[in-house]
Amino acid sequence: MIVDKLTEQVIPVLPPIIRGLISNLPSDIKKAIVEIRLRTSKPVMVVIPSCDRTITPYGTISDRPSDGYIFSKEDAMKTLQLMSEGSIYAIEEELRRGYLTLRGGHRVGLVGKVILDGGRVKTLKHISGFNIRITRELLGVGDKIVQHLIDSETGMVYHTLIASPPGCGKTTLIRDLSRHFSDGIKGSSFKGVKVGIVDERSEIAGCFNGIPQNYIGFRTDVLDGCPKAEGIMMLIRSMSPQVIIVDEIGRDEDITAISEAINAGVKVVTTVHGATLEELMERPNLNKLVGRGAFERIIILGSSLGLGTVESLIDGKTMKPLISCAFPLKRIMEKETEEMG
Amino acid sequence: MKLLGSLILLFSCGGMGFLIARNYRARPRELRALKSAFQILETEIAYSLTSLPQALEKVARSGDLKIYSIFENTRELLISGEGYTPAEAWEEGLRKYFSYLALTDTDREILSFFGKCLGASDRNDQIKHIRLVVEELSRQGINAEQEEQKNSKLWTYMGVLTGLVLILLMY
Repeated sequence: MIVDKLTEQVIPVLPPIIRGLISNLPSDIKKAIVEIRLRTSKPVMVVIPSCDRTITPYGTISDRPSDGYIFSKEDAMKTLQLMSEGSIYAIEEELRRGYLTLRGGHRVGLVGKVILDGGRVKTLKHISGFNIRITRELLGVGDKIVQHLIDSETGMVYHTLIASPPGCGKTTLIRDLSRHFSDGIKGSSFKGVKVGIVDERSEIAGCFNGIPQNYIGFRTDVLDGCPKAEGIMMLIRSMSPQVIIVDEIGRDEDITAISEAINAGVKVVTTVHGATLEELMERPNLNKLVGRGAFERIIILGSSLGLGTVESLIDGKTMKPLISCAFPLKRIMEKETEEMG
Repeated sequence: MKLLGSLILLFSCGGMGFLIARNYRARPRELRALKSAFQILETEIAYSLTSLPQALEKVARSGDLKIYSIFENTRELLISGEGYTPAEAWEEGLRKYFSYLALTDTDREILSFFGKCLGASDRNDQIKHIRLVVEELSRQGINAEQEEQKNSKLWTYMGVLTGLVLILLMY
């Protein structure tokens, strides 16, 4: 399935030569590709879990950089044109932010020469490096945890905060939670509610031309590329969501907007960087919310039992743990990691 | 027999003159259509930031002259997923359809120049580029109209008259 995604969504944006090289790779390698790295005047590389390899001009992989096909300046220009569907003028905002989203929700990070305007990034010029991250949608990672996030008496979702260090699966988890909240849970009395996602960095829904490419549930509305604080208010005013999902809150205005949402009776599910409850309490703006028990459930993710382990689940009002020991979110996640390795 | 031959001669010479004259009449019309096509494209790029394939589709649908086939062909190649950049796709469209047009080599140079930067820079740059091309086309348009006035009647008469002269010589 991941190979299909690669062939249909990622390979068409590569210049013809590189396209050929990557299509010819053995399928077990294609299946394992996490990132494709293109840097001007440097060899083309693919990142597979735990290591990276160069691609030779003969379409094989090698661990010697000198064997690799060298990505030229023309290749870089062509790649950008293909990625923007021949419309570089239409991706100015994306260039300013330094990334764009491909059909299928794959993220492409960009580097090049930054043009400043009054001290702020205006745009990127002479794009020289691309990092194409292949999206893996892990349907079902939220299966085990979702029952803990729904109030059995009112049948409503709890205000939830998910905290973890970077790369432990926060975004993957809220994406799957969005699906559960929106579609309802099979075999339970929870039939689903209206969900609104403010997807500032297009990571949750992976929108392409405004249409979500990841499955996030059929009662879900997405504001793509919108600043969180503004987006939350826009959704509340216009889309009457019952649950609002935002990723990686941190700035003061985010916290204010979330307080507003909570006061407006909308349930909030969000994520934050942080490895322990103590760390969260130390952050000056966040502790205002956590300290007064605004979040009813706090999930701490880690990687003690593999990527995406629920280290603890805390009742945010009483600050008491609700589970006795850590458990992995779902086997599927481990399986995927094994498969990738 | 001789009468039939003269008639055929008259018609073919007249027809040839007429065809050349028609070319002179078609060029200003095609240049005008191209100008308005580029203006539509400019609006799409400048104000709605439409992606190039969509913008080209809109242009291609705005009329049924042969020039719109170039836009349509460019769009098709862009969405074909075969890795064409806009510049390559446009050049390919020109190669395929230019010979059907009444335009001159200078016109073709302007169109090729347009393709070189198509879609490949930021908005302001695209707008400037399109305006430059429109300006060039306007200049060509004035020139083409003058030539039309000068030459279209001339060629029509010349065809018929050449026919008559040849017939006279024959007798």
